[in-house]
Amino acid sequence: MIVHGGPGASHDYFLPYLLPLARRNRLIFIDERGSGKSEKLEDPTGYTVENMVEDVEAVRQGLRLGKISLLGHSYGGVLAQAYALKYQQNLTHLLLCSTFPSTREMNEVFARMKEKMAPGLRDRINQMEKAGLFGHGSDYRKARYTDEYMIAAWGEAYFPYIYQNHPDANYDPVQQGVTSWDLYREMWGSDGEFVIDGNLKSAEYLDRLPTIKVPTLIIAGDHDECDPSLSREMHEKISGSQLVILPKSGHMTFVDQPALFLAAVADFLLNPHAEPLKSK
Amino acid sequence: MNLKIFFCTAMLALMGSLSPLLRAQSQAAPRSAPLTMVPADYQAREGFVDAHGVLIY
Repeated sequence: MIVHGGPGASHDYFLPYLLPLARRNRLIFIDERGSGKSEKLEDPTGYTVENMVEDVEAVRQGLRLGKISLLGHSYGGVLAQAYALKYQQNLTHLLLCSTFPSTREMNEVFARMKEKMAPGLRDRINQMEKAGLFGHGSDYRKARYTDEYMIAAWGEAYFPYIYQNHPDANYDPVQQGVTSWDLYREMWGSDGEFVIDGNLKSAEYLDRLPTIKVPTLIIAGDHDECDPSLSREMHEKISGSQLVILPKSGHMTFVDQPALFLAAVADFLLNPHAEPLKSK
Repeated sequence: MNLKIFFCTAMLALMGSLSPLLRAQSQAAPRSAPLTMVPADYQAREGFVDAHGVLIY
């Protein structure tokens, strides 16, 4: 089973990159509650990691899957950790891709990212954040970031941390704004891209990661938005886990390095106890 | 609450009328193949699971 990031994106961004894994595996992509084609909630306070864990479990039971391998990317990796911490008896493999185990540490990464920005860009972003990111423009635009902020944050500031080796020529930061905004604001927060202060701030799993005994593969890009130091930390905490840091790769590892990503995942699923070929 | 969660399964056609040769080609996982090559007998199926685990296609 494969769970996506955002929070509030959908499974679409995995396609077609992960489909070659279907040669030897039954892949089940889901759209998390409030995302993609899944139902939305009247009350956004129901968008929580804990509720999404139960949704994953409902799908596992509904499809009568037995034990599953669970792959989570980005926020989906947070969800996958939360699932494993509650239901690891239902897992054969856990795959944590470009993710983080602690929102506090992720916020530190964002703070460092901001420090490294070109001063002009940082000033622009700070100014927009200080003025408030929502409620601008025509009525139909008030519930989302302005195009100017999406371009500055996702297009300029994030971009080197999203793609390195093989940038998607169609990547469009404004198009990325097609997301579930009520969910996003509830979970990520309303104060911008460089601080998570929504209900996702409760995701602090470092102390509990050592209780995970399921074979675990951790993958990140060497330029990942979710800094590789976070993956190294998860690797240290999860006994017997494998760590793969992909070269010339940002957050979209399966786009930047599809062959290496697929080989790492396929090899791990076949032999979860072998040393990965590409780790460093 | 009866929340419907969307799922999409992607798998090879393990049963049915596909030739053994086609199936073997699909499963061979050639590393030199196009990176995002969709397996030849790939099938996708979509549906929803609700909070009670009920399948709705």
